[in-house]
Amino acid sequence: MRRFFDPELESYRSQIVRMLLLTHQQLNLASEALLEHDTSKANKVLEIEEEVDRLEIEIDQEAIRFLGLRAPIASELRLIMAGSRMSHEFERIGDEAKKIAKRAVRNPGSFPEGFVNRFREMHRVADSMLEDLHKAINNASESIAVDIIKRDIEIDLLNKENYPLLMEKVEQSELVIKTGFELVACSRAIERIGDHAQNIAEILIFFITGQDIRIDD
Amino acid sequence: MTTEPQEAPTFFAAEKNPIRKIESAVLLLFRLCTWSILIAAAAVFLTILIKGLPIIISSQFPFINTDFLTQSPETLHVFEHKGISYELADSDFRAFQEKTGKTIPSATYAHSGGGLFPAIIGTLLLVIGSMFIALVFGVLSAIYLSEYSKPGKLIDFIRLSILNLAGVPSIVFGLFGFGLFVIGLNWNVSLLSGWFTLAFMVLPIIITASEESLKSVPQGFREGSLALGGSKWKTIRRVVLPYALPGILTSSILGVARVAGETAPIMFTAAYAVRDSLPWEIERWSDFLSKVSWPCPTTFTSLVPKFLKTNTPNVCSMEQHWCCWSSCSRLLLFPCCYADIFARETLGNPLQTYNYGLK
Amino acid sequence: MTDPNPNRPIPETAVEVSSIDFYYGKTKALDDITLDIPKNQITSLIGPSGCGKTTFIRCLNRMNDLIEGAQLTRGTIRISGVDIYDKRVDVIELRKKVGMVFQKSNPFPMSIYENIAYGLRMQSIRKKTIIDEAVERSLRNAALWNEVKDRLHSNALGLSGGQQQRLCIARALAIEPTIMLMDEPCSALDPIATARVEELLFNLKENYTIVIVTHSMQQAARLSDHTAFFYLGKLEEFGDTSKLFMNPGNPQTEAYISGRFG
Repeated sequence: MRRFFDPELESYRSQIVRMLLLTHQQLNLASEALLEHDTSKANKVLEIEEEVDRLEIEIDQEAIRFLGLRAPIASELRLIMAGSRMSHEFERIGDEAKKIAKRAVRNPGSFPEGFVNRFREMHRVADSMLEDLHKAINNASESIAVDIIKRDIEIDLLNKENYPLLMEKVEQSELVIKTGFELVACSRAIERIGDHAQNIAEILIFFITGQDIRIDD
Repeated sequence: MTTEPQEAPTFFAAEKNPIRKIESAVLLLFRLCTWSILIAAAAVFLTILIKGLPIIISSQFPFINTDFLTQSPETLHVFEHKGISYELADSDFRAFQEKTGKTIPSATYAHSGGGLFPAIIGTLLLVIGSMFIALVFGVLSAIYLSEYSKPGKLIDFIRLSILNLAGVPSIVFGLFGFGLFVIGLNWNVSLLSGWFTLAFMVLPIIITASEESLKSVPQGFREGSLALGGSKWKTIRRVVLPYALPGILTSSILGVARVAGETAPIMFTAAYAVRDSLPWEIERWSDFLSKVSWPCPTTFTSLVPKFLKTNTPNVCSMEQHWCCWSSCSRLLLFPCCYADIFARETLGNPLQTYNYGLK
Repeated sequence: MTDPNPNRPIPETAVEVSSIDFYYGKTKALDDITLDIPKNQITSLIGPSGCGKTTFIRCLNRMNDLIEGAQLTRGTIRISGVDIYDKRVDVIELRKKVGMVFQKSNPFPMSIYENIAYGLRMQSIRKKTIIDEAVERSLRNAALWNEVKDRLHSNALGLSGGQQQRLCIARALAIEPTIMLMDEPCSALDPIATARVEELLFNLKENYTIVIVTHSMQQAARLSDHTAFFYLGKLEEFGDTSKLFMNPGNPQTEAYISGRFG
């Protein structure tokens, strides 16, 4: 039976989905800004960040209000809790993307090819994770969520490879130290984006099944 | 699979307890009381029926002695003619005399022949009229007492007085009616006087029954109606009274029994054992109720002269006597029962049909 | 997204209650209550048993007049600017404008049609077409039409508890009051019937001012725009529902709504 507060739940859901879309966009724009040395894209990332931050606060406040005034139980309760947790993860994805974008602006020069390839690969995986998150949320699919979790390790491995590579380039004086550090930071940022995507997938599994799989890890 | 039954579980086993014996004894006592009442009632009714039925029932169609019920009382002639003993009512006797052409000596018994018709009519008229008056006065008073009056010493006093009326001997009502209606208002001994006297006699029953019935109307109905912008009288008229009415009527049947059965109140105000014409055999229709007296015999008052005039009840009048009793009881008992059943089933309380309040 | 409509206009007041004291004989039931009930919104009254919420709501349509010894000793209650306890006010006209639904549903022992037509007949409306139209409209508004349209002339007492309560609501709506008073309308109903009545009230508030007494905190929180907390005949707190339930100003209120009373 449809209740009069159902539109509130629907708007809550759509806010979460919007955060996903925005942060996904931020990820893509930031990676392109870095690899293509495109300042306008970097600025776009910063613009989007405003809305992402605002959404995080709104979702949180709406969650408290809904809990207080509507006394949700069962899947509604899980939805509210999941949404609130996810909003924080998304906000951090946005933050990490912002860091990459800022570093893109600060480092207009060229980057080592090995790094670029790896970074592209890391971005591809992260991009696919967020893409699949979209599918998983829309279809409430546990299997897709599990798959996302497994993929995070690829980014971790690639990140591990980037550090020695970049240090080697710095020692060989092919790369300025400052740039080296910044690129290491970018690599780490995208690795963290993967982690956050993994966390979101875990939260989604909690929403779908009611089980918190963080305990098992 | 058969296993030997183990020891009966002692947890739920019946305890041998003095309380059980007391319970059985008390139950037996209740049963005895109930059955003794039933036996007494059966003895009374069956005796009347058995003694009275032979007269009422005849062997031919329509199996009821219609003459008995449709004729006026006549003198009974008992005589012998050509060795055969006869008992004939007056009109039959005259016809018989004409046929034989002789004057035959006979023992005569007044009011022992013919039928009960005037008495039956009288009872019916009195009952209908007095109940109507009693219901009108009684229900309206009850509405005032239970719906409109403010609780207080005066109302308590009024209620007490009404209840006291129920205990007043009916002869007092007779004298009251005689003094007020017959003499005072100059109605003479008439239907009107009888109606009003009997109505006053039965008022306490009606008022009490009506008040109880009105009290049993759930307060929710009244509040619901008032909350919809209804005035007090409209609420009573549309919701309270229709709901209470079946209860009022079924309780009032007790009043019918009292009215039909009383002799004393009508002795002075309405009744007349012997009268030649029935109440509607009059010249002007207005005389039916008017000051010109139209006394009404009733089944019970017709019994009184029998006992007064014949010191030793003889066989003939005994037969009439039993018939009278059985027809009286049937006149009262069966209509009362049927009225009660009818009222409950047809008009009856609609709420009792549903699980009201049990959800 | 806390306030779905932050720019909504400040509502007009339907009922202005100023400093009222109410006595049942010598017992004081209401002590210095001042309250403004906003128009076309749902105001809920919460509080423990015997705190005066039912007394208060019955003051608004003068149903307390029925009780011997009940009287308003101080203060005024104004509806549309008129003091309803003024001697010149016809209490019957007042009750046509301020309808009431009781805790225990009380359909009359008549047909469903006659129940709804009752209020109209009280106003001497006799034309069948008008009554027919009003019956259908009220039953539709009460979300009962589809369930009973084929048995309008069957006895109202054959309906289930939830249906009976909705019938009572329809009956009250038929005379088109401006204010609806509801005294724990869902207390005798199961959750499904309760949900239906709540949906109904949510839709009604567009056109009616609704005051509802409830024992259910969740119901007050879900449904109402404003909430008043009564305790021992006093008004402890009155305000916006989200504020009162998320962050009550009065510690008594907090204790009561979180079940830590007594």
